[in-house]
Amino acid sequence: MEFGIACAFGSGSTGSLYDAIQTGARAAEELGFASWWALGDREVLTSSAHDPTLGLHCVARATRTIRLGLAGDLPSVRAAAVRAKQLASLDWFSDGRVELGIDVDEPPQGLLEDDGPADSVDSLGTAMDRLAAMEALWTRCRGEVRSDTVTFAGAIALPKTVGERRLPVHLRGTKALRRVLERRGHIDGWLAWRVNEGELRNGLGELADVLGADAAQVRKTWFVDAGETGASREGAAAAGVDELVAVFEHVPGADELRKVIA
Amino acid sequence: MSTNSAGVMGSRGRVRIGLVDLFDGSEKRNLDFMTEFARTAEASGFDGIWMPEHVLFFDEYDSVYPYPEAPIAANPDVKEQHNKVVDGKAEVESAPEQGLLDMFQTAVAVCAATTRLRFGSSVLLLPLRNPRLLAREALTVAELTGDRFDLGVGVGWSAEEFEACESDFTVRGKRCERLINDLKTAWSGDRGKRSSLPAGTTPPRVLIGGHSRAAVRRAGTVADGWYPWNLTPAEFEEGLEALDRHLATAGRSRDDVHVIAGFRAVGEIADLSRIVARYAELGVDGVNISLRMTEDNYAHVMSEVADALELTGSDA
Repeated sequence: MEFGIACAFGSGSTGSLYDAIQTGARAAEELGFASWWALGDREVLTSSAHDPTLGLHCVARATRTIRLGLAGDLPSVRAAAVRAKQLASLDWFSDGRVELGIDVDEPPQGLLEDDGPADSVDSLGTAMDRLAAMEALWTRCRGEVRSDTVTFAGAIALPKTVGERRLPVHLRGTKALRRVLERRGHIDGWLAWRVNEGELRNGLGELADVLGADAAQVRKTWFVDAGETGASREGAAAAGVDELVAVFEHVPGADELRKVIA
Repeated sequence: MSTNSAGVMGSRGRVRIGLVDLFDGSEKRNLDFMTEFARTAEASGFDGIWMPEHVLFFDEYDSVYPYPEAPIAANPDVKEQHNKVVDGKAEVESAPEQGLLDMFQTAVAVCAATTRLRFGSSVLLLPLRNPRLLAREALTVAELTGDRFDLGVGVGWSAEEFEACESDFTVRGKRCERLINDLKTAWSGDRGKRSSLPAGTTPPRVLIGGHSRAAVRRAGTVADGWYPWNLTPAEFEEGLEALDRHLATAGRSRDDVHVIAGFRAVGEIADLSRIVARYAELGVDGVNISLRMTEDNYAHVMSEVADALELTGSDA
């Protein structure tokens, strides 16, 4: 089982946020953490944290191997082409280390524009349309998409993701699992966001029910409060979790990171 | 124009000289290139690097590029066409496989490589954004660049790009204005209970790109500055007069806004001082120059321009 970090991009000290992220990220990589995740849009909305993607950009610049993840991107609140460029650029700056956790549930009102499109009518459908559009822009020389949400033809989207790949997609939660699989065919990972061990096992059971033997191919990531990491290890390993991620409400320093893996 | 150890001086003080160029995510313009480019600009005495934005490009457009003519350096009262024109229709100046990196991440990277250089968007296509997200993104860029980011915004010209980005091209002007107001409201703290934003970070100044009547009105009434492109000094002066009227209507003055004249350089580098001087005399706060430098010649070109404008040795 691997260990990762997730955090809100707010500095716990009086120094610059950029320096705090760089220091924490270097320490995480040296200590052997496998990944660094940003909080999801839902959590960031109600916090005073800085932007997740730009925070990960700073992590990328300070590290070489650690995987960079978004723990709850809401495709239903962003234009696909705009988000595709942001993520492709992050992949470019990180030399191909970005992974995309998607949250396809109803978006919070605070992220919807007052006169924006009524994309909350079918947020999952909108999210899947936009994910398909992003993947077209990352992988095709001249992207072409026609869906209820996005339409374009002959679009030149550069830079592309490294190797013109589809980013690994992790689905947050299981509520929409069946519909996501109907639309997309597969997921690369599953994110259990700050659930207790019982809820974790329920989610894993649902994955197994829906995916059958294919569930073994899905990477399972369990996010727990940083202070609960030690107590969660045994349960995570027993449940077959691939990665246990410690969630901080600020950018952790080296001492805090050491405690997680102690 | 006069110069001294502080650089180009205009009628309202020192004129900040910025370079407009592209970081496209290509192998040639990799991170090492970006770093060296930015450090060379800073060492040469330039004040900022500005990057255009397109989310997408297309092989063919029905939309017409609106800035194909630029004032000639040696004779700024006359414009010369520098873009390709096909069947009487101007096309955007881009490579066949043109890309551009994300504006905000590029800003953070450039400012991390330098100590005083500013970075600006020239300009960000504001109507394509969700303002609820952009408010936080812009504050984060300000934080991570040490308050060295300027948010130039515009309404774009490519209907193809807007459609692909799920935005109604026909209402982009109104939407731009509403989004600026949304940003200002969010940054002012008057947000109700919908979201929290990072505290203690000064928002970037918002500069309105373009020179339409609506653009100048927005600059004077809701934004922090005006940033037109490819205007002759006479056209620029006319715009300034309109800007002053709108500022007065809004109970503001030129001291409340930042004005930048931007242009695509046409002619000899040695003549750039003439056109810069004309803008400086009109009272601009900054002049942004697009030189379309290559990976091989940028250091030499920057040196020549710095010499022409007597920037070398200047300091912030």
